Amino acid sequence: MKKEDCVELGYIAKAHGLNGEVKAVFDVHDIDEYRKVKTLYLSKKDSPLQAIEVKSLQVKTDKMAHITFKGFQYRDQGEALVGSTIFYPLENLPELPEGHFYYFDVIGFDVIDKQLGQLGKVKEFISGPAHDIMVMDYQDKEVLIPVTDDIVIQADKDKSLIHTHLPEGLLEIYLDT
Amino acid sequence: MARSLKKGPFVDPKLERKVLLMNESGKKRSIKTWARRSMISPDFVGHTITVHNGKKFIPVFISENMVGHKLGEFAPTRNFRGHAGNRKDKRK
Repeated sequence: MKKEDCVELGYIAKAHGLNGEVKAVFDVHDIDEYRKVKTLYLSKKDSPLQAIEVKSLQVKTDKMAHITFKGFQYRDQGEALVGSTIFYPLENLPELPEGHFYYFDVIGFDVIDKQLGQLGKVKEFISGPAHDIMVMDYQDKEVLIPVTDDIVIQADKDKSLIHTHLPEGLLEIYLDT
Repeated sequence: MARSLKKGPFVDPKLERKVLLMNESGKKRSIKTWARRSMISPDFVGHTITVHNGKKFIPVFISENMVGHKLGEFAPTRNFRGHAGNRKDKRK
């Protein structure tokens, strides 16, 4: 398994308890979807992926879970994994209902506005306290677009397009600075 | 410490004026502001306000449950960009 075939779910934050359990921080939309996961792939920095079978995954908060790996008995084993990034194979991701998309799927898509036409390409997504923000490259400037149902209308995967309805004046704010 | 009830909530007067003008005309233009201390009033709902975080303007789409909070709460000054492209998430 290569990193290119996986998505990053989060990282191992610290060892928990004396029996090799670890505390993991997840950066996902719904952590409950991973309750019954059987195998996770871990990697520290640039090291290759290491597959580890999961014995149990207990969700504690919407971002944190306690994971017990098969064969782990001692705290040292858990501590050795601290700082590792957690990867999950793309092919195992749950299928989304129609009209939904994964953020990583739409990176590089062209942004088409209802009124302004073709703008730029999606660069990345940032999570924010109010809503997530889509970063778009437009005329060598970085334009931030709030990801809400009113503004980001639809993603067309076949044509690699994202349809938006930007509030009037939003582009000008970024082009002026 | 809470703000005195006698004074009432602080809403930046210039920002409030712009929003009220837009509400009267029915337009929804994006507004640029530095007024992070301004409270979000019910008139702001449905508008997109770009709030300065010290470096750039963060667009904030105002929804009903933000009323009563300060604008600055929604434009973090220390941005964690996270795992960006690899982040697993979904939206409509």
